[in-house]
Amino acid sequence: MKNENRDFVTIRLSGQLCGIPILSVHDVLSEQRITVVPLAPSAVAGVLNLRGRIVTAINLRKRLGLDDSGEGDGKMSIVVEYEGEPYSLLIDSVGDVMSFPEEKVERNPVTLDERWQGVSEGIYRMEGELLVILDVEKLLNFGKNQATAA
Amino acid sequence: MTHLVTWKRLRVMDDLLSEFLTETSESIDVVDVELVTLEQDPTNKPILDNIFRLVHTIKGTCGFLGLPRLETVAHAGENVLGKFRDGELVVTPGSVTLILAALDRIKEILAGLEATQKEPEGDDSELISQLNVVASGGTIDAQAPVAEEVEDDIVLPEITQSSNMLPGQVSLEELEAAFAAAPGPDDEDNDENAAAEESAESEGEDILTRIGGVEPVKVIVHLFHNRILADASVKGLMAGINTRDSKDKMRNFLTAYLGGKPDSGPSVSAAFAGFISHGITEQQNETVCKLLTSVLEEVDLPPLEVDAVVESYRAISVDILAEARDASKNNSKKDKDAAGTAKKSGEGSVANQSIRVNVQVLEDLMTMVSELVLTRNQLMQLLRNSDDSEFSIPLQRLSQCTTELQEGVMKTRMQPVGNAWAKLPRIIRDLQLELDKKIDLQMLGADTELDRQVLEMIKDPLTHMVRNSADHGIEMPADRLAAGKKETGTVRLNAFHEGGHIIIEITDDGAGLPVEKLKAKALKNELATQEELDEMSDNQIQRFIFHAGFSTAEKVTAVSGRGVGMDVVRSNIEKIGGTVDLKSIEGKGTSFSIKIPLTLAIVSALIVECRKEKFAIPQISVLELVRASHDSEHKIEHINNTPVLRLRDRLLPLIRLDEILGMADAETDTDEAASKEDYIVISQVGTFTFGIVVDQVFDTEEIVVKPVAPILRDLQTFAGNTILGDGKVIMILDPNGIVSQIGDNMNDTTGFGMEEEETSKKTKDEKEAILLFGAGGNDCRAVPLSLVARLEEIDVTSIEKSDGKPVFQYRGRLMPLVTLDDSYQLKEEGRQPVLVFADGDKTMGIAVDEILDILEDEIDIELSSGIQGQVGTAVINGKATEIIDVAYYIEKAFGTLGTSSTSGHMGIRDQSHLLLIDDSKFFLNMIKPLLSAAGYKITAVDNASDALKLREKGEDFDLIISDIEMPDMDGFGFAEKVREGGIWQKTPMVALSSHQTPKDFARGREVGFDDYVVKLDRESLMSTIVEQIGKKQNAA
Repeated sequence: MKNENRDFVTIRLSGQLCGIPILSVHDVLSEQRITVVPLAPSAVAGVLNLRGRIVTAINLRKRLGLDDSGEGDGKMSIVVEYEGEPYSLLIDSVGDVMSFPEEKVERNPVTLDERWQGVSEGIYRMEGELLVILDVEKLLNFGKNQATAA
Repeated sequence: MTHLVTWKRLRVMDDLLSEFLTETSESIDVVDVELVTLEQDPTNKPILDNIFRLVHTIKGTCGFLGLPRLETVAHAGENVLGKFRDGELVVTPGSVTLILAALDRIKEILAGLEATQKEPEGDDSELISQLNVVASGGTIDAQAPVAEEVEDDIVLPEITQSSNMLPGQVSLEELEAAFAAAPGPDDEDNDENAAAEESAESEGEDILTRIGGVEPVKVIVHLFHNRILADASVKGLMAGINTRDSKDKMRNFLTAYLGGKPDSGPSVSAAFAGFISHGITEQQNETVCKLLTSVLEEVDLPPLEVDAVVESYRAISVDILAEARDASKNNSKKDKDAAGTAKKSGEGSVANQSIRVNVQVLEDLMTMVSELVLTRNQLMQLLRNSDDSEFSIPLQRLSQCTTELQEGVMKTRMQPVGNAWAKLPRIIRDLQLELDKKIDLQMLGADTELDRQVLEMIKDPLTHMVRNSADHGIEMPADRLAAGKKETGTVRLNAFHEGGHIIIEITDDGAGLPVEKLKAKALKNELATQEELDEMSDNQIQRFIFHAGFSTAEKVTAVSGRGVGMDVVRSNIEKIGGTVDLKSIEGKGTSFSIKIPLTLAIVSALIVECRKEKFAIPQISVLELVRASHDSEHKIEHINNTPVLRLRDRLLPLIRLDEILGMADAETDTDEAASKEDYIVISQVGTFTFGIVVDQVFDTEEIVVKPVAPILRDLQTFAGNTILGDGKVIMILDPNGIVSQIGDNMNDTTGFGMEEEETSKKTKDEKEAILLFGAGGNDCRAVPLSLVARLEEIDVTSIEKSDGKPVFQYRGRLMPLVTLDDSYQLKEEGRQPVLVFADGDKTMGIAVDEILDILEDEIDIELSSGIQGQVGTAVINGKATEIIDVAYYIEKAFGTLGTSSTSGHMGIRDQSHLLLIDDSKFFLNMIKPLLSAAGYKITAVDNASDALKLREKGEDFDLIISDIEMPDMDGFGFAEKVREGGIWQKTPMVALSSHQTPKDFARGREVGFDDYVVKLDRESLMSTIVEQIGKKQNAA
């Protein structure tokens, strides 16, 4: 258990460094043409064509309640799969793949914004920077959460 | 009707039978092969299991189809196989042979079945007893030698077989059998004449005519025989055969066969008995072909005809070769005899015409074709952008091929929904016996095609629902009679396409769902509290049956209530993205409606643009396209910001796509709307026609409907999404969803277009388009849109006074302008909105303050009004709304001006007495004053039995106008009663209905209506009344 490392694709979102477990990442895309879906939940940026598959694009900034007008928004996206459906998460930029030992994960600070609490698996302390581990499942079941909230 | 049903049933039987034949002959072929493998490897369990399963299936299907002979043979075979499987018996060549013999017997019976649709006569007791002996562990010595021989035949290659076979080895019995099967010399002349006649009759297309009739055939056959006997390698085939007989048979056969009537001559086996009994080989057959060719050339036939005849022979020789193999396999005389008679020369038997393909293969093909279509679209897009390309012609061809390929692949997946229904008549029949009920099963739209996979998925739910309807829905005959219904209950299935969906309705005229019982059960199962139940509508309560464990039948019958409830049905339908809903009226019946989207299909869609975004609208729901701009014939007009369009003689409500999609931008809206031109896509959902306003219309494209991601699935507006030719993803609009979005008051069944016949009599007030307006005070008023001819805004300065009443000039005529009440003041300046009503060539305007809205709703008058000019008050769009009585105002307008009437029906004042029957009070209120105004004396009743009471009282009428859809006794029933006798027997009758299918018209005439008028079409109602009364007077 001790030396088991987990690999993450690091992404940047409004300046914040986040990590997505590498095994759930299917694709990393550069800017894509996205078709807007009217009436859709605001976090849904639209749909896009990925080699003949229709992928639902999620605006991660909106999903996490970040400022929407930030620079570089939606330039890149990461394709993940949730319940058999492909989703593309719009992010600012993609960084390196990083590996961390399992036991170094820290619990979310209790003061963290509720939206972040809901989707974060934990925090890694890196030198000079903190990395938020995003839980893909929790990121994408927001449709259900909204439904129950409403 | 009766013979139609019988015919349908026959056809269903045919389909079942041919499916069975195909399936069974495939299974048998597999078993044949597998058995041989098993014999070599008796311990191979998977093979044994497979054989057992196949034979078991055959047995099961035979039992289902009522084929006792097949079933007993298969059953006996299965017993033996079962013993093998359980290890109780060792697989021996002898027992395998016996099973093979049983399979051969099955094949024979199948062949007979295919030819005559009936199980051929025959005795299988010997075979079965042998099988039983083996099954019980005994041996069958008598069969052993035969078994050995058969085994050899199977294992040895064919060539060796026939070389082992010496000429002349054929038994005499066999020959006799072959001769017996062929027509004797006595029949010959007749045959020949018949054949000659046939050849004369035929259009000269068949080979026989081309080679010159019967005479050349004679010569050819003669020479052919001589050649065969002269050739050493094939001479043996004719050994022991009477040459003259053989020539005659071959000639008759060829005459018939080449004349295109293969069934009228002797069979292949009779004509080529020698070839078969001597076990002709491929090699020998080649020689025979060569000989035939040389003979044909010798008689100076043109090369084309030579080829044709040789080709025909080759076709026949396939059968001959096959039979020759059979013949050498089964040397037993009995088998041979049966096979000889059962086999027919008919080519292309059902068994060979269809093949089975793994669904996955089709699925992959479909995906590839979808991709191909998309790529094609992309190429075509590129082509359109370049002016003159050398690619254009090959691309056109590619495009066409793609389209055809796509259609072909689609076809392989599409099956008529009737396939899923095929077993239902049988089920209903059995149910009738079992439950002692009388049930008539009607199936409409059985040829509606849907995707194979979808079909498979709904098969079971459908069967279950029909069973339910018959079991729980339809009452016992005595109860039905007591309730005043026909003794025979009806279960009706109806399938149709609607807006890219397939709707299947299952309607019964049974007892309906008992609301009180459901309530009690819901309470017991703690699905809802008493308070909640009190709040719920009947429909909501009835929907509880979709919850788990909710069977309403008091006792579980053998038929339904086996733990598979409606909840399973619902979840199965929802699994494929469908919905199911129900409407039920206690005592009247229940109607289920299943809506299945065509998510797998490629559909043609119209691409439109709205606010720079493209959308697809399924072509199937687009009626027409209208371009509207300020300078064109069509323009969008606004009534209090509600856009409407005049299209021919209708006023269409419009929906702005940008608004319903929430893309409208208030600032640009006003300026842009004024300047730009719009396109209007006229769509229809159910009976509701409306226009969707879009910015731009592009061409139509074949699109592959892909379901949207689960998070977007709640959006009713979209039916799915797809990838366009340019690689862009676009959303597919769902007109049904759009309609259900615009009307808050519309309940969720809007899109179903359910025929509101038997089941929903109480909610008779069907949805109609209603115009809401304000006129004095704060009250909201309404009038059915169908009564309004036009909406106008007139300049108040053009309003003049005539006889102290306001009038204005409208289209060159004076139009009276009435106000809703005398206290209402016309506007003093600006423009006055006016509702224009037309009646014949008269028009009348009602001055109003403003038009508020146009919407679809039921007019359900809750408070009838004592005030003149008002029909009553109804709740529309959640607000109490006064429904105005147009007829009253027409009377008011023309009561003062109408005396100057010169033409039309308004002038007739002969006080003809009309009887008006309609269950809709609203309609009666609407039409009665109108007819009185036209000078008729009206008696109105709201149901047929009251009308018949009037007849008993001896009241006489000049004309009877009756609604068709009425509770208890409908218009058809009423007409039948009237025509049966009594004082009204000769009275002209006019049917009124909101349905106007030719079938209804025909039915109406059949039961005695003289004419048929569509409801709310006042113009034709009036003229029909005049016409019918005129006729009556002329006759008198």
